Amino acid sequence: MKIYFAGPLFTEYERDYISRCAVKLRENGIQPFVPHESFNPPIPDDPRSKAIRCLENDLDGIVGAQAMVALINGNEVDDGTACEIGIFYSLMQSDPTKKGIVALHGDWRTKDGGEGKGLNGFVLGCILKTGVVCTNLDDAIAQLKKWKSEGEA
Amino acid sequence: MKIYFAGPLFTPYVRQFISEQARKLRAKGIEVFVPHERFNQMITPERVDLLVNQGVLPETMRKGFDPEELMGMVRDGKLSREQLGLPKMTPETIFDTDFEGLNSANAVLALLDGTQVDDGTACEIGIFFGQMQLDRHNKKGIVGFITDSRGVRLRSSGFGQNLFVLGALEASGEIFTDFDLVTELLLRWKTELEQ
Repeated sequence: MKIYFAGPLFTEYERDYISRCAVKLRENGIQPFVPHESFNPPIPDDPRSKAIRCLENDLDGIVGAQAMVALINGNEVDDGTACEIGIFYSLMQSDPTKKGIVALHGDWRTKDGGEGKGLNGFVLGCILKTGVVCTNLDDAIAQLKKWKSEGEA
Repeated sequence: MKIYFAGPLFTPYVRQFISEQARKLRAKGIEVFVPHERFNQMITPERVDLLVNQGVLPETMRKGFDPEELMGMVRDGKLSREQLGLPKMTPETIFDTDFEGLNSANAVLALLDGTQVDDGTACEIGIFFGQMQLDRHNKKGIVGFITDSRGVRLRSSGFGQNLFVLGALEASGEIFTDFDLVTELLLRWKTELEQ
């Protein structure tokens, strides 16, 4: 099963964490598309803007995925990640091979009873409509495996 | 033409700003769904009368009331949603009510102010972008509106936006710092839709 791994990938340790998650996913028979590992080589004289290149590159991964893992830690959900969650939600409505979204969440600031303002209700609603929120990667993998076996059944 | 107005609606002044812009668009014949106004129509005069009878609301509200003022009381904790006969605010309720607005909209107007695009707004941009890929005819586009000086000064290099979100916006519309230009583009889409 192919999945798209969405998350904030702006620091070395974020990218490192996501890459380590990806290794574990692959060990479990799941093929993640990891945006920072999957950048197409630049085309000479590419007329597209940098933003459109980024969009089209990652969109390929989203369109080709049967599920999404979204790392939603941070003061709020990273806007790129939130946007990708929305796109996946929309594509799910017309593509039954897309199974759902698993959010990975452990940030104390946005936890229920944590010290911050909580998760955005709309984004959380979008995730809960299509999947689950997990606090660790093992639970996320278990959910993905469930969807994988549904897809193969 | 119906549009969905997305933005960070968590403070009174942002809500007021959004409502003001919405009023300008309505005056031009554009139907605007404003998420923080979505429960306004669910407040009935009968329910308000009942609360006046109970002494919870002032007698003057019997003659007429401003739903926004009542929603303000709810946000301040002076009145409960149950008292007003409104559904409980679960993430699912928020999503369902807003999604209905998004799903029936022909375009999205997104207020992009903040250190990043508000996550709810970004998610809504994504949902509409996804719908646009499936229905180009009824889903005209997404227009971004930015007044945040930290973004405006980076106008030439993409307003300091997240590259992926910027890509989604570039692919489906334009970003403006001037609301007249926002209105112009929305009216152009309105004409196209009516043809």
